[in-house]
Amino acid sequence: MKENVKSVVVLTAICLVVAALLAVTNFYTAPVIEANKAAAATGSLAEVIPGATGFEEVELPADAPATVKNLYKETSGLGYVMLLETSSNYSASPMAITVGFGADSKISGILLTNYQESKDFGADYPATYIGQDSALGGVDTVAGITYSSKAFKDAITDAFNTLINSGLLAAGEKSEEQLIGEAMPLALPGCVNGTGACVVEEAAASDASITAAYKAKNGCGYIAVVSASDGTLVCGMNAFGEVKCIDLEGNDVTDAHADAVAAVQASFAAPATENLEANQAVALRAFEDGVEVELTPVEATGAFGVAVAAFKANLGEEVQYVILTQPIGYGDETMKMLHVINSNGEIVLFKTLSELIVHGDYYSEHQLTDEAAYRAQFSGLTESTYSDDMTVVSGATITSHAVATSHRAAFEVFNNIKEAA
Amino acid sequence: MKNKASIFLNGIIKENPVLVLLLGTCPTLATTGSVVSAFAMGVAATAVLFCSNIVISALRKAIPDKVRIPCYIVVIAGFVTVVQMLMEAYLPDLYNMLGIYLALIVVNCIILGRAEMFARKNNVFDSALDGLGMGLGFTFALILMASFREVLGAGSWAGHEIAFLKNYTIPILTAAPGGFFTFGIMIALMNKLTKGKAPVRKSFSCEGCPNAAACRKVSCEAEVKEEVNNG
Repeated sequence: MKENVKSVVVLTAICLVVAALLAVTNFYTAPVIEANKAAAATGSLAEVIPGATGFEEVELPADAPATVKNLYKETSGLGYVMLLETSSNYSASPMAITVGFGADSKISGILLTNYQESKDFGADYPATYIGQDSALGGVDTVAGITYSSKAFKDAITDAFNTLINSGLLAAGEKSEEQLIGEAMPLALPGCVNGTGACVVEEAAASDASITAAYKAKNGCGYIAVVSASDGTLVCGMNAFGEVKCIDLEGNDVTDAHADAVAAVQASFAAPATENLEANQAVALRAFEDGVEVELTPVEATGAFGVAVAAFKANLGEEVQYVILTQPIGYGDETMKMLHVINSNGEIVLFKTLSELIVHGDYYSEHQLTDEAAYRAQFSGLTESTYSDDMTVVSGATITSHAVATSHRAAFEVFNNIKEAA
Repeated sequence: MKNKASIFLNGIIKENPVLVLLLGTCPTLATTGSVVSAFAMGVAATAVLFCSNIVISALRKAIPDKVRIPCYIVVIAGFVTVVQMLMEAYLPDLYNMLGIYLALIVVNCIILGRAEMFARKNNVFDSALDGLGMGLGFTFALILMASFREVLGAGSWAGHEIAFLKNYTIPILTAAPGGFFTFGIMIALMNKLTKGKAPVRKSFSCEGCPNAAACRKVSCEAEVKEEVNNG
């Protein structure tokens, strides 16, 4: 009995002494461990702001975009650091970006901490952002990895916007060239590729008020930079000869600038009219040999998408519409597609005139075993039953995007024709 | 004095805990992939061994036989936790490198083994010497093994690249199978050097095992007798 009591007492005493020893050690080491952990967490932050001494987290504004994850303020006022995560729409796993903004409202450093795409993004691309202000005038997307680089650029733009809207950074001044570049997709949406940039080549314009002229490479229209009395305008002419003018703030100012519209219309021939015979021959391919059809060109003046021509097909008792579209595919190459839509707005036929298999981006056998079935799934759809998701084939993002653009343009043309009638 | 020196030196070669006593095999295999982690593990284990030997020896008369193992474990766990806290605070890189193996020093057979075999039977000074000697022996064996594995497996020593070996590494040596392979070679070498005498010494035969109390009466004594006769 005595032995047992002694055992309990000794073991308890040892436990108490050891516990006390641990308490003392913990008292001295806990603050150091805490500080180490905090330093490790902000370690990557210091890499993007040279000379940073410490960081404190700042609450994000309620309306911050989803790409913005965390915001830190450098305690000695050298700037801000933001942790960004791109949307995973176009990549297997989101990119994680740590970006530092100096007190001069420019990017002081940038780190890509997670990137898991097969195509090499490289360290060089993120480095092009260093020294940029919110105008991001010196950076572009990268051909071949367009979606990833666009997602990257969009994330940085989100970061800038969040900081500028919160009054923490000053907005950078955009050059006129940049503003014109931004207005072009608004003036002629049909000219844009998957990254939102206009794919154009230079064109000649006779009118003196036109300072620069471009032809959309996919043939959906022209863009002219017009010097008007109240500033520079960017005017787009669609395939049917209709003109829309945008000022450098992005407002539609067509109605106030009839002279600019006239100048543009006088300078370029509407593509649909210019290529009438060739388009008519293409449109005829929608019908089987021996079918009696009478094609008459129709105009969809409000359609600024990728449509290049539209025809009314008179099949005796029935009337259908043949709409030719030329979306931009992989490598900014023009793809040719054709829709036949009946008078109820249902797709009767969807045809791809250029091969869907385009260099580098492909609906390969692996990804698309039955291309005919893929195209046939759109038959019978109307604008309300169609969705862009139906076009998606993984591994062929840009081609899928082109197909979706084509569908939307075809419905746009159909609606325009219906409204005009 | 000669006796004291032999207590200290015992652990380094003659009764090296890793290569002769075959104790602490798990951390030996796990942390000898690089010299730095092996050194850190050795130093951490030495610190715990030294302190626990002193405390256990000092309390050897106060601790009742029945509860001695729980008492040893509490003392050892206490010191391991202290070392862990200090390392996390002041050597965070090493702390991260050792990971779970740092906490596992608690169950390192060397420490409990020395408490049971030596500290509970000897005075504080001798126990301190034994702890230090065993700890250094453990560290020495670890560094030896890690040097072999890191130099031939990764072409570097303690992180310093060895230029002419860089392109001729044997990467498997830094992986688990390489650990066993190296361990086997080192034990064989040790046996060769001691002419096979080391493993039959009574002081670390099964009687020295922490669990010997449970089996001593029947099998252990017979085994020891047999080993001595054979030797």
